[in-house]
Amino acid sequence: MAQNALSAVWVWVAHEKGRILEASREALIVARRVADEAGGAVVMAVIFGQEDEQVLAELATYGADLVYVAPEPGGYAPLSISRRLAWAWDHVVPPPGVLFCPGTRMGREIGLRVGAFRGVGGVSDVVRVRWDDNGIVCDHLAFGGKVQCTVQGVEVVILRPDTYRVRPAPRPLRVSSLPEGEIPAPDVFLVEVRKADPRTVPLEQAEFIVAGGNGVRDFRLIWEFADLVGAAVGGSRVVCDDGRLERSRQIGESGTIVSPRCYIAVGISGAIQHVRGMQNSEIVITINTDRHAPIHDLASLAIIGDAHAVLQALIDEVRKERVAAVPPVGTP
Amino acid sequence: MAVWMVCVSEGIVTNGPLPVMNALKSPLPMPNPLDERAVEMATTLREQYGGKVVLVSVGNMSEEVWEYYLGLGAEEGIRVEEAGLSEWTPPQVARVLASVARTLRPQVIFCGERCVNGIGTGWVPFLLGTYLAWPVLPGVAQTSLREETIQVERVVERGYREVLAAPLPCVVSVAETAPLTRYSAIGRAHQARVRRTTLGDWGLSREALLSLPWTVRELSRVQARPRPRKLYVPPSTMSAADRLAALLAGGTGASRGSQDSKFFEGTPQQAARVILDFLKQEGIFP
Ligand SMILES: Cc1cc2nc3c(=O)[nH]c(=O)nc-3n(C[C@H](O)[C@H](O)[C@H](O)COP(=O)(O)OP(=O)(O)OC[C@H]3O[C@@H](n4cnc5c(N)ncnc54)[C@H](O)[C@@H]3O)c2cc1C
Repeated sequence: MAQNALSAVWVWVAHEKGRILEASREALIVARRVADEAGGAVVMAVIFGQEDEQVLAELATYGADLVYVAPEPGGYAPLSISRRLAWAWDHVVPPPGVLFCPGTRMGREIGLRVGAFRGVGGVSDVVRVRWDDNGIVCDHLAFGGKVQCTVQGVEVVILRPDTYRVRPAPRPLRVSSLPEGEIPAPDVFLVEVRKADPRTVPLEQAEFIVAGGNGVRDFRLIWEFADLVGAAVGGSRVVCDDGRLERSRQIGESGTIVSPRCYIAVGISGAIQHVRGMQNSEIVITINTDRHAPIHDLASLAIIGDAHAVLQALIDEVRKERVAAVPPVGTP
Repeated sequence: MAVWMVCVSEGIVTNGPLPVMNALKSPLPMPNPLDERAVEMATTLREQYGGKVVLVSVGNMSEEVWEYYLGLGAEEGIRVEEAGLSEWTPPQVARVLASVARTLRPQVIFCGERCVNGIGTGWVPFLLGTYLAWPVLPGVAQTSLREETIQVERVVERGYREVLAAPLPCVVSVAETAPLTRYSAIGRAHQARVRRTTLGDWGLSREALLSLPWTVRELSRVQARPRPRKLYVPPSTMSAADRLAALLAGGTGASRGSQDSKFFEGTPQQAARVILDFLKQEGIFP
């Protein structure tokens, strides 16, 4: 299909507490650029849930021309949202040529479901999108992120998160309601959402890990901080060897390989055997007295300081915040 | 008898000594780690509820990889191959799997969430569910059955777990958070009954498959550049004292996003504030 008459692009936008999630801002900015390159196509955002002034203002800031607002999706949200999007795709004017989804877990699922319902082609892990005479061209990662494939003919684009620079591209925004039609009854149901207990969760499933190494003498501080912020505890081989931490919590090539969203390495030097177990962590924060410790090579934020003093300060700060967040007795 | 069907695919070794583009030219096949977990999940249900595990592969698969999957504990295997068809699009794979499923009538079809060491865009489980009009439960770490329904648990953001339910039969796509504890045993692999089939055995024709629409066309492949790690950038809202501390450490003095800007040296209290602000900015700690 020749796409050289792109008149509109869709973006499903995730928002929470009146803010658009960063991954969705990335999707909006990419959509805006492709729409401009295509000669001024309309960027149509779709949001579910209440029409929130702050969210609308942000949509305008990040380049949406039009927003379709739809009521809070009932039941299992990714399914009901994708059914509604798949139906509405044929009922909005001008008809969109492509759907952009943020690379979050939910964005990915929505993109894949919409693509399957409509029987259109798409790709995920997209790191670059551009417009040329033959339509949209995407670069996406494959083979474990090691190979970049360039493809054409994509109608659902699922972006790789944390990839695009978000800059304001303000536009006047029109607001409309998403056309609603008959959609099939749901066949997947949300039973429960619960917080996993960080003390018992298997380390390979942990989203947030505080790990201590030989630079930590007193592991009680590690446990106390981890409990306060809901993180799981791990450590280097040295501290498991001498019993500061149980063996099952050793991270590294001869322990557990982890891939949390955030890994705080406290008093860990960054030996290669340890690094092999945690290098897939998305964000690494290091705390170490030695500015030249190799672990800092992996860090997004590197604190030069004493493990015990920084852990104690972290514990005190979190406690202070908790107290401040509790309303005084007698407030309604 | 209950049937637990598992779709298995083949990836390639990309972290060996060869540069990745050379590895693509002379690919060394290996199992998809998520499909391994899918076999394990099916085997666990078979142990609890009886029945048999049937592996299904579409397209060419090397003998070693096929035996490896069988050795994880399947009773049967079905290979669907078609001479002259080497590159299969996601709709083609899903259409074949749907035809096999209509004959096997499994309780659950398990697939890896994506082929992590292949092209792996993750389209097949959703297309399969759509073709069969069965529910799709994606990204699953654990399963259990309750009468005619399945309950699954998934690992979602910020340390939460989500429990989903769906009526049987259904498609379950398996995430890397699912357990993998079994070893592949060659003896087990040799006990399994394997059938080699072609499209015609499932009432499909090559023409029908080739006519399935899939607009995505690959133009080129290159080695991906390593992805730069996200770096901390001191926020403009930082207090004057904290800014000063960061500055003394060469922090805010460095250009935004440069390697130096990630270092922070200050009092423990300032360090704690910087860490907590960063965790909040990234949505890790509320
Ligand atoms: C075959 C083999 C397999 C191995 N497998 C593993 C494995 O799976 N996992 C693993 O972790 N290791 C493994 N190792 C061991 C590995 O080589 C390292 O010895 C180990 O990781 C070092 O642990 P560490 O960083 O905690 O300790 P050290 O190397 O002693 O480093 C301590 C760090 O703490 C810092 N420090 C000291 N005092 C303080 C303070 N007060 N505040 C802040 N920072 C401070 C220091 O600057 C230093 O960087 C393996 C080794 C071999 C040979």
